Amino acid sequence: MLSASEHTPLLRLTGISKSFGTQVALHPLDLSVARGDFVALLGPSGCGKTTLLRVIGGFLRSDQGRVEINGADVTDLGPEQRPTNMVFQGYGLFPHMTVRENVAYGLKIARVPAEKRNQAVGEILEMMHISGLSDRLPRALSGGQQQRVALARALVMKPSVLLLDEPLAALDLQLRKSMQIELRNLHREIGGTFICVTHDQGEAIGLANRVAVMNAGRIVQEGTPEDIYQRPSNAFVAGFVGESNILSLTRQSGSCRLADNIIPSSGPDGTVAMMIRPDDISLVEVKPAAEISLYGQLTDAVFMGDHVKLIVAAETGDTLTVHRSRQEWQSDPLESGKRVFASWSRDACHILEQS
Amino acid sequence: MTLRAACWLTFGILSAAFLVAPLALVVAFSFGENPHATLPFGNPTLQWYRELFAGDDFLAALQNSAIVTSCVGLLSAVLGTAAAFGFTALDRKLSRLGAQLISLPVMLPPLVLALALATAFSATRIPLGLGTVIPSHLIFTQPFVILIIYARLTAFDRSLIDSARDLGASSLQIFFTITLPLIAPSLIGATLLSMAISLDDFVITFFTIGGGMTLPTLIWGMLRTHLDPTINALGTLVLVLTLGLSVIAFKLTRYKG
Repeated sequence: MLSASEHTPLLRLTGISKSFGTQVALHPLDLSVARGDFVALLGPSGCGKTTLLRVIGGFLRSDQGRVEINGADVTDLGPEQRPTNMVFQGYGLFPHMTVRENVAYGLKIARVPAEKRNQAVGEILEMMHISGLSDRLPRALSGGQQQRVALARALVMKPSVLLLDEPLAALDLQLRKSMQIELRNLHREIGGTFICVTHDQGEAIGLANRVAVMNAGRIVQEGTPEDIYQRPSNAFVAGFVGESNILSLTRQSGSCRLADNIIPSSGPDGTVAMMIRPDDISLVEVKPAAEISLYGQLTDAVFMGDHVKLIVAAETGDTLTVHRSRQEWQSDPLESGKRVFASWSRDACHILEQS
Repeated sequence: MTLRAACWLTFGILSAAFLVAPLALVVAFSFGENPHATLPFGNPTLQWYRELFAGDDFLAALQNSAIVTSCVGLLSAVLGTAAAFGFTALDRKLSRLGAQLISLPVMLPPLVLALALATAFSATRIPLGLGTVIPSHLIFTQPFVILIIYARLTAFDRSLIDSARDLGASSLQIFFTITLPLIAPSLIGATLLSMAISLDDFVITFFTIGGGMTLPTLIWGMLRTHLDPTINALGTLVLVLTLGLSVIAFKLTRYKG
């Protein structure tokens, strides 16, 4: 029994689809989430990620497909009957209840005896560092504090899956960064399964141990943050996750041509994309023999704090973005307007089918 | 101050005085000794209030008004809330049409509405009395409650209901623990407003009550038989009650929880 539940995924979606009228929000998709995973559903707005989260939480019924949690079919159950809890984007705190009452609400509905309830609420308030706020009303709290209350209110229910809808979107940058670390720690501490919706690729990569990139109602790639970043499966993922240079090439009988470089690539003839991360490109004055290189002119150098962003207008008409560390740049700066070779190794670039 | 502004100010003060003067006179006469309700007022006295409260007619009318007002308040609150919830479930176009339909009785001249009701009751042989006054009042107090609650519900944060569902609450539990406490100020305000309108109504009551009296119809009766300052005392009482209810009502409905 125990070994069986270890191997079946905690959450399994099969063939989930959803349309609103004629608009397709989700094309049939599958997703498995293992116990203890922190999954980020990442995508631009309108890609269906929130719809998917709401289907998992039971707020929306999918048109087709099955939702299984812990091996049980919950497709037809509403959110009140699912072992999931959600932290809403606007937090959804009850304005007429104090922090303590907000957090105790679910347990009270579940008729947990007062003594046990108070203990559980006390513990979770402690854990979220909001014990001192327990008698305040939500309107007397800052955004970050409200966020903690919303988390506490969901976590006190000990959900099998915790759903987070853009959990950090409403916070300012500093708070977002510290809350991100805190969410990671929280996940590690309680060992739960989290699913988080975000449009911020930095957040997805920084928070999750698995990322599902979504576009136009489909999951276009799923994998670890490293996979997604280093081995994007198509041009959309490459463009959406991290900064990248994407060059359009034509493949003909097994090789692509970029200026005077010939890059072998198997696949059907047609247009493909070449993706190179800005930190994989170096700028040199002498054309390197073994590498792929484009001749061009440095048009701008933008100081970004921890790195310098260089813009190169290449001979092919493409614009390349190149990153250099601050130290490197200070020891060896280049003048704007200088003619250089932008070069990168074969391993650093990926040929992607146009999605 | 320019001449123009001065003219407007004078006009404003005169208009206000014109509107308030009769009310002020009624109140003033009710506390004056002069039995003909003419100037001068005479010495201040509570004599007319004492006489008013000594009369059986007044107590009966007060009782009837109390019954009608509280029933109308309670029923408006319950039915109005139910109807407002119904409207929020409809799509925008339908709910707008519904709101217009339900507001029709308010736009009709009260006399026409009263005649229509009286005709309907006599045609269906329903005996007139408080049992006909209450539903008749509901017809024109209801729209206010529905519109106020509907406005509150459309501004209601849906994520609160989603949160409560997510935490395991049933629809009924959500209504009593989340929705009702949050719309309570609007609901109480709307109820008091409907009570003020009901308490104050003469025309509809007159046509649908048959033999009995409420405070406004009592005033009418007294006017026909004898003109003495007890009428002013009664008028003042009705004025204070309706104004009081309305003031509380407006305060509450404007409260943003």
